[in-house]
Amino acid sequence: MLRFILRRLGFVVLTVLLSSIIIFWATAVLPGDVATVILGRFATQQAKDDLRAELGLDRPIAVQYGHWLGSFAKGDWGTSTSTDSLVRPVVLQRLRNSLMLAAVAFVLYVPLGIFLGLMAALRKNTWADQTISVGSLAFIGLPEFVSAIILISIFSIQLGWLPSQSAIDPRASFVEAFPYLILPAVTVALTSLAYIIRMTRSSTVDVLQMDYVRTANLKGLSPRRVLYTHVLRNALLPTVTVVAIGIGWLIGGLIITESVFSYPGIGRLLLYAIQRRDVQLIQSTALLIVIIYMLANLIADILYALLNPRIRYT
Amino acid sequence: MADGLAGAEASPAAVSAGRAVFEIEGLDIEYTTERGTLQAVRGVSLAVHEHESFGLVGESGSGKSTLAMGAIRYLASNGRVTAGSVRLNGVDLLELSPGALRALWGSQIGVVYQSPLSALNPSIVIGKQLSEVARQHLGMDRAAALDRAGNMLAKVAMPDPEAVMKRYPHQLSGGMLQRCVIAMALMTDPSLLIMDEPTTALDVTTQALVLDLVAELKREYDSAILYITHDLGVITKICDRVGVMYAGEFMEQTALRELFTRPLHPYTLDLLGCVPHFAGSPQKRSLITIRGSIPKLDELPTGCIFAPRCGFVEEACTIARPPLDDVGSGHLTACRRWRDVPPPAEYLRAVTEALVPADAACVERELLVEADDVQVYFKGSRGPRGSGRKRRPIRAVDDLSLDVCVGQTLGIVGESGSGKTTVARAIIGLTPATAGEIRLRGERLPAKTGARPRTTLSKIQMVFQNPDASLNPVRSVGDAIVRPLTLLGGMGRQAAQARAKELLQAVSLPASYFDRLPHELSGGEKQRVAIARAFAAEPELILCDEPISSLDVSVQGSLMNLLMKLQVEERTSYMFISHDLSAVQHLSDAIAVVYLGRLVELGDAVRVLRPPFHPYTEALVSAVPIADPDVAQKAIRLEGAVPSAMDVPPGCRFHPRCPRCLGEVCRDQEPPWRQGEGDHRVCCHIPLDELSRLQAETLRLAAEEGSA
Amino acid sequence: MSDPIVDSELALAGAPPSGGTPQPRMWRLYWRRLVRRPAALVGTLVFCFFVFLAAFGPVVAPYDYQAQDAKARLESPSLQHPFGTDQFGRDILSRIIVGTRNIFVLGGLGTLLAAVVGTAIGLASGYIGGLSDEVVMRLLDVLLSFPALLLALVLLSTVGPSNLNLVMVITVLYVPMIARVVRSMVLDLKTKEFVEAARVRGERRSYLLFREILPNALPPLLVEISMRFSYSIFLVASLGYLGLGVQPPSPDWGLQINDARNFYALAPWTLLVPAGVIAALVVSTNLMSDGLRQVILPGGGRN
Repeated sequence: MLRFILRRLGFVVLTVLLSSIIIFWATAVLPGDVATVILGRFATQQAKDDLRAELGLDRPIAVQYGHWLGSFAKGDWGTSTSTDSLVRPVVLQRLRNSLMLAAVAFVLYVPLGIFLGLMAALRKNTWADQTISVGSLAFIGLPEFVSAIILISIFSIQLGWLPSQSAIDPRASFVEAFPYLILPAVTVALTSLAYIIRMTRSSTVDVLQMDYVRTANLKGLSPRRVLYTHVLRNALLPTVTVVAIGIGWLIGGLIITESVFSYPGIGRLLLYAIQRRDVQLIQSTALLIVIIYMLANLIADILYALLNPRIRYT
Repeated sequence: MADGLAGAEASPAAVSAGRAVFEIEGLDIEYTTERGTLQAVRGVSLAVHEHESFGLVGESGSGKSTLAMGAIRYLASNGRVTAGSVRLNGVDLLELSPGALRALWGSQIGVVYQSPLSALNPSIVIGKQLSEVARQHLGMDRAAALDRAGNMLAKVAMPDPEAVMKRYPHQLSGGMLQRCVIAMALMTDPSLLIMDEPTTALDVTTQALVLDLVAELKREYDSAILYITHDLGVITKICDRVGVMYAGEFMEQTALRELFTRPLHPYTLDLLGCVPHFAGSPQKRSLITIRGSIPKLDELPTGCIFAPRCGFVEEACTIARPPLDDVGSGHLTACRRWRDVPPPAEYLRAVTEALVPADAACVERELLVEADDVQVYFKGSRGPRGSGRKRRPIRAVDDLSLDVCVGQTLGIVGESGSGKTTVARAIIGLTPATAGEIRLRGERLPAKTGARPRTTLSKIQMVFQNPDASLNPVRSVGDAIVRPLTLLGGMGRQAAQARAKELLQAVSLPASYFDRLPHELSGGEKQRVAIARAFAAEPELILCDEPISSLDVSVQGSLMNLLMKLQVEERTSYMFISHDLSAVQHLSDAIAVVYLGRLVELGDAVRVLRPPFHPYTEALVSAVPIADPDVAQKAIRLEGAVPSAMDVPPGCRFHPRCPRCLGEVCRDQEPPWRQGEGDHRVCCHIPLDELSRLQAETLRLAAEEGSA
Repeated sequence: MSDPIVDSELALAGAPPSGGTPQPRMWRLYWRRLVRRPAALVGTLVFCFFVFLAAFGPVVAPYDYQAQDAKARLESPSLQHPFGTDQFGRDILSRIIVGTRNIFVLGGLGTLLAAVVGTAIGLASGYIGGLSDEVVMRLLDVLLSFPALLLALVLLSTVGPSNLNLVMVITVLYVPMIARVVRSMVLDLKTKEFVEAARVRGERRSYLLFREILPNALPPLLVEISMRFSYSIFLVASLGYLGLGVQPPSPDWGLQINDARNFYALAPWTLLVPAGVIAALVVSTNLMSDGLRQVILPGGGRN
């Protein structure tokens, strides 16, 4: 078991490293001349060379990468060229905001998704199942900006219950931010909800067909006991993994949703950085998001191993 | 005598008298499918009494499992009971409310079915799964229930019940798991125990242990047992009455002995002849082939459903369905012409032919393939904690040597983990040998298939175990056979197609099958195509890896006949690998017995299966369920399970389980080869004459016990 | 021996009975199963309708999608302009119709390329196995560990948005998943007896891969491709919305929505129509993919 955790941890570290290489390569190696972008087209060659030396762009790529990675690990995430302030405090603050939003969304879609998925599986082929299944299938590919717009048009414009924009002060506390979190959270939750429903339904249907469910029924146990003691334990196990993978969707959804609602989260920060070609900001933000995603997956894997006797007691 | 008494109940004057516990009358079960409504079970009646064990025998599609599950009302959502009654201890199951039915299931019926690992919840410890039943139905509290669970486990001869109770299913072996399931089924001392093929997934030696257990439990408990199986040998161990089902109806029902000595239905008669008779006698006969195939449920014939395949059919048989009638002393049959059904011995003599005896076939002793000290090791995963970090190899095959002569069949027999399949794969190169030599007519062969030239490859071909995976699903039957003809035989397209059709006929398939796709064929037909494909390359040796294990009994017989016929025609050698000792004995000229990667005995088929033989062979022979209630077998039972090939025991590999282990010498030293008559060799520390004496004594005791 | 309870489920799914008689060819079987599922059928039909629009868009559209008409700005839906006009007086219906082609071409091309490359990688890696397989899979796993949109953004942010780049990004994004699916099929099929029988008669590696293994890996592959396509629509639309997809004046649906944000109060249809159309295409593609999966893999192909 310990070996399993160590292996997974090793894999996470490796993946993060490789991801950082990809990020670095995409942002620092591919694009055009940074010096020109910053100083403008009319800057002198000398000024550009000086700037490049200052930014360390004249050194070999591997060295630049190593330097960047080392700094990142130490906590020095550089200076943003667009805002001219330190990258780290801004990123962390926006991260906090996004986590608040994600948390609200999470609380919305995980329990509901599992519940509906179970319902659909238990009442397979009834109208309830059909509705849930087809409905979730419909939502699973609906881009967030589409659902955001529909939600805004209903709840903000028609009914006027909730604000249509969430461009709050980035330092706002959770309580202050809450009313502005609701619509974005629902938007983000919708797509992930569909995904969880489908996966839960699928794994529950599989479990229901298993021989040990037949055994449990033939032991004369009440349907409730069969469900809670025998079915759920095995049907919900894959859900841990599913939720973890779903966080990948969640992140993508966050980026778009924060844009639609102008919410000061890390996704919006990334978009802002991209528009301004702020390399330092892009790198740090992207890498941080990847790290968080991988950590979430690692936790899910460990949880899964703990809950699954086949792995716990090999 | 009893015409017109449709659906007569079995007379209560059965072997072990007791009241009727489980009574089924005129049961009809149907399924709704894509192709319409199918009548899976029609007009079935049976009765099982206290202390009695009723064997329900049938092939696939016979409806035996459907009958059992349907009778207790556990059917898939598209199945339903449409007529008849089912009574358990006088209570009509079909009238019960769902709640009452559940209570009945748990308290009065115990069910054991085929795969014990999937029957148990992988996330709950054994103790809890067993005690659940007691808490629900016997009103016990947690401690009392666990206590009872422990007692039940002890009753089913489980070593160390306390430890087992705390384990999860995946930590136990198949045999132990099945015992847990049996214990679980008996927790409430049920009136009815339904066992659906409980030993099919187990090794022969493990199966013998479980069967012993069931026989013992039968004596101890009052339960009525409904034992479902396709294996005629198994029912002789524990059943009192037997019923034979075919395509959803009963063909015959009678006492055990009667069924074997004087069956009164052509189907039963044929079935008995499909199974090779496991006896030491050298006079082999071909097996019975039942022409045609099992009818599909939506295309049932009018009149007797067996009529299209029956050797005794008359016109009147095809008009109306004969009812299941009692023709005297509890013997029921659904055949109009039961009076004309001859005794089995007479019938077999008339219908089957004597086979060319073994010795005459392999007169030249020309060596074809030799395997010398073959070793196949796999990279193992690291051992359990505390055994050191080094990776130990999986020693699947260790220093194994054998040869096959031209025109001879070498049978390789062993259980799971014996390495028998691995040896074959090493010879053909699919799993390359890690050491040792393989020679074809003296010429050394490269270890990997990929390294061998096509001329060599065509000489050794293989028929695989799983007929469904043997043929490429997107290729037609004809294409499958044509390909080796063009690739290895260098034939042109036209010539190859003509030859392919010839081959189809040689395996008794109509030439019209040429354009069919594999999914349109039955299992037996697919295997025939696989055989035709193997012969298309004109090989000198064909490796048959459990080719018949997954097929119905009646189909097994016809395939064995086919293999033997083709061998005579083409003078091909076979290496026949199987765990089924009866089949191996029937087909082989020489037999090799393998255990845990080592050869333990080798010699002529006849000599290997008679004393003196290796203690493992002795145990195997005594464990084979023989389809003859009069044959007495001494129960040599092996405790424990086959060790993992990563943890091979030192000295003689068999010593931890050997009932004749001599102690230190077997533990420390590898046993020598001892030469017997002719080519017979046994690898054992006990000298052959000593072994001979001991084993003859054992058999004598068995005969005495049997007659007592 | 077979379990009749499970058997009956299989019978429901149309598995063949024992005892050979000719069965209808696979396609007819698939068609029959599809027809039995109304949701999947509707999805497939709607999808086909969109394909038609993509193919013949400019011919079918009533107006030139670029034609501006200053006098007819932001007109609500009418007989002349069934979906109204946008802020430049362009007919929205025509823009929608022509925009279909964009999505199909970009998404479709990207998915197709990903399919080809992914299949090649999956076949090679799965068949060869060993260390190189491990390494390749780990590398692909790294790509998969990026949330999709994030990776797309990072890549596009630097190379800049253009049609070609968009297709490349989609390809890079979907190759890992397709390679994985193909690889797992190859690993499964590699050990099947008919492949071993082919090895035993000395077939070459290329024959094994392309004539024995690949044809049998196609059904799940097709299902996966259709699902990827539906996600690619999602992606193209999202990127378009963010301004990183297709550039104006191209009638990309996502872009249209972005453009129309400011006019929502005045002319809601400028927003709702493209949104509705995106929804319709996505939903129908999903229904179709799911239907495909149920039809081709009735035993249970789940994700």
